[in-house]
Amino acid sequence: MVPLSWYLILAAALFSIGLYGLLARRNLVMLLMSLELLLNAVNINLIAFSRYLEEGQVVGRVFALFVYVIAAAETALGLAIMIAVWRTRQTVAVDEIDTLKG
Amino acid sequence: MLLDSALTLRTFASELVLLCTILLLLTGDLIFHPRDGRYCLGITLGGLLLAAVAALVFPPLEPGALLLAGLTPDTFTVVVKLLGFFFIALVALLAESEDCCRSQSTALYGALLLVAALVLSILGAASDLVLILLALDFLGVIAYIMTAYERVNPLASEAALKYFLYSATLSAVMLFGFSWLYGATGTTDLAGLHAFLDRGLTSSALPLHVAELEYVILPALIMAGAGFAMKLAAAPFHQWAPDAYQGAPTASAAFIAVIPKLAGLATLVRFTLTALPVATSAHGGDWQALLAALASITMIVGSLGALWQTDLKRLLAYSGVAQVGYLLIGVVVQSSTGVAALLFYLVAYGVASLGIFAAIIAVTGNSTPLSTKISAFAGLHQRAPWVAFSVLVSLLTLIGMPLTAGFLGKFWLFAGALEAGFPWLTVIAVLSNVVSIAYYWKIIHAMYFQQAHSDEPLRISPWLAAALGISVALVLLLGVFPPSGLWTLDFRF
Repeated sequence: MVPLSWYLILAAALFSIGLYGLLARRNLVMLLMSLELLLNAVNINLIAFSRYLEEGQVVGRVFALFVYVIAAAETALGLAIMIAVWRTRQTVAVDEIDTLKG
Repeated sequence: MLLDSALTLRTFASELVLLCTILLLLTGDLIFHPRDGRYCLGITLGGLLLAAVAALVFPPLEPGALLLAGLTPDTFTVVVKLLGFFFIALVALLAESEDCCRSQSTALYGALLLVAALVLSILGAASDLVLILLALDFLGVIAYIMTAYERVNPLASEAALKYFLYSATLSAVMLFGFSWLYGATGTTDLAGLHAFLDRGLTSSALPLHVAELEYVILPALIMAGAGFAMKLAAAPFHQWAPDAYQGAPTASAAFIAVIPKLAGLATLVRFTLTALPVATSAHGGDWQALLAALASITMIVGSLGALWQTDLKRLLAYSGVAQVGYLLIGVVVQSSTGVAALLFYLVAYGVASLGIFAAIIAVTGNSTPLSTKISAFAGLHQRAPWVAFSVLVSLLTLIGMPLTAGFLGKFWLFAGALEAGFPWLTVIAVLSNVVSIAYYWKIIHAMYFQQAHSDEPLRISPWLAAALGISVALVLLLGVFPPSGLWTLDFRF
């Protein structure tokens, strides 16, 4: 069987890639995809732990299902906000959306 | 263990009332298309009142009695619910007086507020990581929608975008922490976490070895804490707050200033007092020290940030950060009296902030282009002496003037830090409080010592007058006659 640590390393790598994407990308669509990566890393962690914990542990799998719900809701809302931004500014590049500061 | 279903339904009475009110509001809006927002406001306020009565009539269970997996309704839950309903009712009064919150439909904003109340009442009882996550993120979703409510305003969508990106990222970080906590302890229940952490890190059923766990638990808890701190706008996770406050409609800014802070603090209190080992045990001091560091950084950053602000809403955002620092002391203390002092000061802070936001709506609400510079308050004393007076009282309570609720709350919190063995925290809090006089004085100076731009008296809507009146009355009443029953409440977890 694949050892647990492989899954954990995969999840940590995905999480780091997602964080890098959030910091380095300037297109909003890419930012939303990076957010998805973060949540998918969480799900890999949860599923792997629930598989390797004692038999019959379902909490982790249920937790992962709820994480999907959160991810779906947040992506839908993120897209809606993105459309609102596009309609008022004609751009989705985050470094051009900088009116509020001080 | 599941109790019988009748008891379960009784405990959810206030949630059921809220759910029915939401359905009534939305279907009523579809069928009747009320032009007059007063019906919707009436239904919203009525629903909140009924829900509050339901929460009071059906007493909470004994501390620790598990109702459904993950829900532990107790005294703390009831207090959080009542506070949340009260604040949300005040926000509803504010929203009724602001044009942009009524522009699309008279019922939608009220429905959003009621959903927030519903989420908050579940959050107050949540004692499981899954439920905490769901409730916190759901509340976040409502807050983004309310921030972006004014669709034609580019500032509103920018504010919502920044709030969303910041919040979603830190939620994911918090979730990553949760996943590691689950992996390390094999449970998502807060009481289960406590049993594990208190007993020492040994358990044979787990895939990780004891030595590995030592390295995992602390980072996981810090990641979870970062998520909570973001909801509270505690430094160093506060950067979204000024932009969100400034861009959002003023009623939404008032919502963001109070409700997520209440939610975050309620979660943090339950999490630290239920899951983390008690202060006297081997690792117990660590959490206290970390939280104390968070509180002190928050106070310093908030006070210094507020000093340079010229925009009212941004100033309130930074001052709100500093206020969260004071409130966090109540969590650091880790005792029933600490929680009571926190809740008392939260009432003072929430009511005073909502009062100031009501005055902002009164002064700038329907002017175009919207300017919320401090100079908008210039000469308010001549134009509307009562509005100026209520803002003055609100500011004095935020400063902590004796005879206002803010003084007592701060006194109890600061004294609590001394008793818990953090004298330096008290010193920082008092210094930060002294600095706060400087920036709150800017508003007082504008209102009383500057010439008004126009002489015409300010007309305010009855809803705003009601909100302002309630806020002033409560601040002064609580300051002179503090509720002695607060200390007899039992906040055991």
